[in-house]
Amino acid sequence: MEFFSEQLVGTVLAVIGAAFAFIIPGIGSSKAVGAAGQSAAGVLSEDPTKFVSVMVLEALPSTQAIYGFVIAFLIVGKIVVGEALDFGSGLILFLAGLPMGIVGYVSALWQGRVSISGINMVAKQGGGMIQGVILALMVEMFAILALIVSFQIIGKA
Amino acid sequence: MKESTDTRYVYTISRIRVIEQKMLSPAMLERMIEAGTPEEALKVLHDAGYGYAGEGYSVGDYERLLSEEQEKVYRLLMETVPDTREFDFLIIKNDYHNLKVCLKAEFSDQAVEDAYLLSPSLVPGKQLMDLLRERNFSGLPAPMAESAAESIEAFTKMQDPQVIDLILDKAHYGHMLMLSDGLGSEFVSKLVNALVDLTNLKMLLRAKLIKKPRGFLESLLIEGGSFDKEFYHKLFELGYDQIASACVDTEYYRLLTESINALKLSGSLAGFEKLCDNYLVDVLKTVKYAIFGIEPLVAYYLAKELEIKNVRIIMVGKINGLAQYAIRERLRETYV
Repeated sequence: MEFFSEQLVGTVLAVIGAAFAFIIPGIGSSKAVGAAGQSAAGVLSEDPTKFVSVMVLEALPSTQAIYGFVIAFLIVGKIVVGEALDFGSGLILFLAGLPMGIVGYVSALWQGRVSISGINMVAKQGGGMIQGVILALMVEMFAILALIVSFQIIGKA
Repeated sequence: MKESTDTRYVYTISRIRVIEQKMLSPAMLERMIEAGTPEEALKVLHDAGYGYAGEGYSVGDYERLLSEEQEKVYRLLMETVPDTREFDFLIIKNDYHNLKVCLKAEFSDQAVEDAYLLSPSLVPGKQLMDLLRERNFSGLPAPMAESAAESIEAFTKMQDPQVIDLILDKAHYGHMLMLSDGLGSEFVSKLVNALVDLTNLKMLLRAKLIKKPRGFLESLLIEGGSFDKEFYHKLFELGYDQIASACVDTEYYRLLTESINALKLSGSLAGFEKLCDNYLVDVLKTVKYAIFGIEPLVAYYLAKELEIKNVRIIMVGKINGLAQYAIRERLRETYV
């Protein structure tokens, strides 16, 4: 296979890293926001006045996919058309995708749980939105740390 | 207990979290007890959103109000969950009750009054009546059909309506165990096991109370649950005080100690039944904050059932002019 020449290995590795950094947190966020959305709809079926609170809580686990998108974007940005990436840089960029991919996925799922709990809390008491958001943001921190780590690794490529 | 991660029920759970706010709190029950007339007590229910909107309920048909309230809960589950069959185990007790009512009415040549048939049930009461009249059991779930045929046969042989109760009660618990096993939920298994255990313990205490022989107990005990029949026979031989201490390693130690004290004071099982309900409420409360799985839905349905039991105690008390303390004494703990 002429196309898959040795020179391209670095580039391919970088692309896989970028795909991983987005796909995995993307799946996590989709699941989490999906479940939280159903939960929010449950509350709204009975009490439509709580729309703002439950919407904010539902949206929180979507950030992991956004961070994954940023990392994927930065990795792809390192690839220049017509220039093959050397193997070492390719491997670093591939590894850069891992922290965001893995931590993003797990934190999205667990943040989803906290969001749903928060939505159920809002269902019980009107003023619980801020507390719910703060609790969910605790999980957000780990995704942010993963974002920074992935970002730093990209810088070394 | 293993926590469920099944996300199929999140919509219904969140919806229930809102509706749960309207459940009767101890303060509201107290208001009902302190009401001067049954009408005033009924008004508390009305304010709590009991029954279907726009229907006027009078004190005379409070039973209809209560059964419609339970139906409302069941209907909410049926409308919103992915697999409605999963809740069959909660309602088959009404089917078996209806079966008993229909068979006993038939054997004593009486017409079945609608008020005696309970809903929600798997087979609607009217349909059950028709099926039984035609002796057409193919429309019933298999365990029900078998037990119906068995009880008809036993009754024609022995002419004793009690055998109908015996056969159908056993069939009911067997059927419930079978249905709940399929759900694979630890909480539901624990709950159903507790129901079987508590029924068996009740039989045991009753048999002791009316001084029946060992063989009598044998015929009453239900298979399944946490203990084997040998265990109950061993307990049967013991004195009241030793029964509780023989159960020291089980979940029911505290329940038995308290209820045997009450039993010795009053000579009736009313205290035991109340403590059983309180025990069940405690089990239900363990999933009060769960966000996934079938558990919160089951807990809500049963919590509502216990709430309605409380309301019935108060309404019956009010209508019959019972003293407030006597009503309070009978009340069960509340879920909220």
